[in-house]
Amino acid sequence: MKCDTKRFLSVMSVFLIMFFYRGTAFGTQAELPEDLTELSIEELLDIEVTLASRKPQKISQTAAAVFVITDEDIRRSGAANIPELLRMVPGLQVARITSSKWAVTSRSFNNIYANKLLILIDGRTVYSPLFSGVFWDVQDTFLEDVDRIEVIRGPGASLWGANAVNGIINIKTKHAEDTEGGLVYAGFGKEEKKLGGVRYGDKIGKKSYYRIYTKYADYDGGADVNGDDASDDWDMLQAGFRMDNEFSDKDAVILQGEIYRCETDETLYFPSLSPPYMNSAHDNADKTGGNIMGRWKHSFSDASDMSLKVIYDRTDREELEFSWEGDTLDIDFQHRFQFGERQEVVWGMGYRYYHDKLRSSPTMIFNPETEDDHLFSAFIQDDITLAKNRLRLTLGSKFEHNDYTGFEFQPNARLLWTPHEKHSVWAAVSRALKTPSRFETKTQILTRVIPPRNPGENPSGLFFYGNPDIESEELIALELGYRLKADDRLNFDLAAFYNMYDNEAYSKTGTPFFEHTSQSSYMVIPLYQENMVEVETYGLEFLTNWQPLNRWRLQTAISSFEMKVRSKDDLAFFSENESPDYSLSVRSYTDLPWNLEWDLQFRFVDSVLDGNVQSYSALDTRLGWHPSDNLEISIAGRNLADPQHPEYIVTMYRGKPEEIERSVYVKATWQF
Amino acid sequence: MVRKLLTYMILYGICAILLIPLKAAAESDGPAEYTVKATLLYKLSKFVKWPPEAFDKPDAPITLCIIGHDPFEEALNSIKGKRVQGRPFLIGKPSDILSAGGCHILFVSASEKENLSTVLSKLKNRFTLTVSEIEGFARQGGMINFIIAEKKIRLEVNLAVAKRAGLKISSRLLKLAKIINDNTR
Repeated sequence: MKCDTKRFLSVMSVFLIMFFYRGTAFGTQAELPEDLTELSIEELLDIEVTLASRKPQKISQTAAAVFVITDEDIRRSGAANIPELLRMVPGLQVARITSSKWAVTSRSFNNIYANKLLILIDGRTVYSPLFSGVFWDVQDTFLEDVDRIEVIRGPGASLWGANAVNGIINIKTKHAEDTEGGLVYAGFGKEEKKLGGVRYGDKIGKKSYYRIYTKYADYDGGADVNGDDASDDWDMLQAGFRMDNEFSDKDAVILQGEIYRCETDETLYFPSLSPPYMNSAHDNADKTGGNIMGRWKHSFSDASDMSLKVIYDRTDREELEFSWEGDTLDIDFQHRFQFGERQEVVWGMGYRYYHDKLRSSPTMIFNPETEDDHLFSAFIQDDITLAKNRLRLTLGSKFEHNDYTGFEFQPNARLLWTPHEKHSVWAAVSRALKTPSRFETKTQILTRVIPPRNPGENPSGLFFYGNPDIESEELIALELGYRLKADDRLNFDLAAFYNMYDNEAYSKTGTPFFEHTSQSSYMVIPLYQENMVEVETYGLEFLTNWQPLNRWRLQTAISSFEMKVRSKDDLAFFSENESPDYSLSVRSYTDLPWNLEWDLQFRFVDSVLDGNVQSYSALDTRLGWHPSDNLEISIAGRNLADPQHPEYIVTMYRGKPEEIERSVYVKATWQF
Repeated sequence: MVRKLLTYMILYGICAILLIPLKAAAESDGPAEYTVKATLLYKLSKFVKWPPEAFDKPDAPITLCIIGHDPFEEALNSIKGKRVQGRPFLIGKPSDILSAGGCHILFVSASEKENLSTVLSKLKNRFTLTVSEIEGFARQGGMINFIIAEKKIRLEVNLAVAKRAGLKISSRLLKLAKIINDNTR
């Protein structure tokens, strides 16, 4: 895991380019008096001002490592989908495996099966109860209508519950009132082959607004190691709506829903216990689904309100190796009130019903194929102001009962100290759990076959066996953070963590045995899922926001990370290096004359998987032009630093390793 | 790990130092948004005529209040101690909306976005000139809203609401503003 000096020099050169780049050449203003009150109101309204950051105050006063992706960040990133957007967040690790598959995690355990990160779209959880991870290929929304994406690194279990172990990503779309009118966009390019979308919003009735949208995206596949195009195209068609109604000053009702259809192409290789021991097949997988959600918020007073949320979600995945039909019903209630002068209490209750139907295949067997799960949960959180505007303590816990491990509780304590309005320090201790999933408990997977070396010998099959008695994985996390707002143009955010994971589930090799069937005889090498790994991780995340000029903003994110295994057992396949030791991202937004915008993002990601995936640098850029207020034309280049590079290799994945290619695409957006 | 991290930090520090001269050069750019907005709050008071019941004495002060999180911070210093229409200009920060009833100008911070309807309903038909920077503020029954367009501050005025509260806004100000239709009736 050596840190590549050459690559580091390229980081430096980006800084140097920025240093020599002088944006002051354009747009200077007339001299202004020191005391602006001397100006007339007409003059005041003609001044070009330096805009303050739009981040909601509540975020900077949170005792947690929080990062917000604003709607401007989304527009200027040039990213066409959600995982690509998340690359800018410090402490998050995003690796694209194939065109439609990603490994995304916060702080550690990155894998295509990463299961410790909770993703919410308008409060709807999108992780799959099948493996507690996220099928990224079907997670999308109309990005132009996203208000912001809040990312919390570290455990958020006390409010959000199980699986919010390493972080939470909360994608919030705009109020329908803010999206009145129409928006059309179209784009085409090399990897982002075809992009298109339409949204229309209007007012209906006195205080009701709605919007509807549809969007389509067609992505080209990656490349194999030789540079030949892989056949893993990905396309996604989605439509949705949102309606915001205010029935009275105190009652708001939001109704929203989405349907999608996603198609992916892949060439997969399945192991087999009879000759030729490996069969290749073309998988044209079809994934459809939809959801509908209703939210009612009632405010009793300034300091007290309640909300009720009902969500139904349907997912249908038709793949070669398995199929999954899942239905989820979620009901959530929340109540917030002021308790005395200094305390704000939030408490809530929830129920989730999950039903699924799975189809097995020779290499993946589910037992049983149909299941019903019930999850009951409750939480309470108390925000205590110990000293007004100076010291705040937050205590909370989530309680839940699930069908796998029974009753669980996940408490946390957070302290925020603001000694000065420019400085704030926070610390937190939390316990969070990852509860077992269907894959870990009730499946049997043939992962690999070792063919016989000599005639007459038997093949060996590596079988993964789920363990119905598996327990929850536990995390105790210690966090510390510091924020400095030097002035309106410069701020720093530093977060450190020390995480102790216990009872991590991992496959343990059992005693091999012979199996005879009518077709063949083979040796079974069993892999049993057990709570056996104990690890600790620690790291630092450092973020700088700096606006040297009105027209120029810079953001730098540096993350470092280390993992140490503490278990005594033999962990043959366990990698301490699923997540990079270092990563760096520098983003620059520049407003040029003639209504042009020029944006750059440079990323360096250290090697992963013990050197099996080399470190890489990537450069994304975007040039946007606004010929009029309602038209935007942009050209975006992505991964420009090299023709192609791998970002991750999944051993359990049935396809061949793939690399991510350089891409350029153009896009036009028209609002009416 | 610590050594590598240190190297990164040092290099980063060097880059930051290199960029400082650029930062100094940047100071001559436009004034901060909230410095201008604070000045505007003071200026607005010159273009508004309050009803007589808004003042209990001929020399009673005009009070500017800020409710919610204060985005101005030091920017308010430049308008402290001024006089308007022969009256002292005072700045207050009431802790809740009930104690804001006596304010002549009330700036509703963006932090109050969620309870905007409550804030506005408490002030209905009082003489308080409500000002904010929350999107749609004037449409939802606020009087004056600061919006940003092409880096300049623009005014939106809901004239009907101001009239109902007995406030007269000068035509010079109205000429500079966008008049918003009343949506609250």
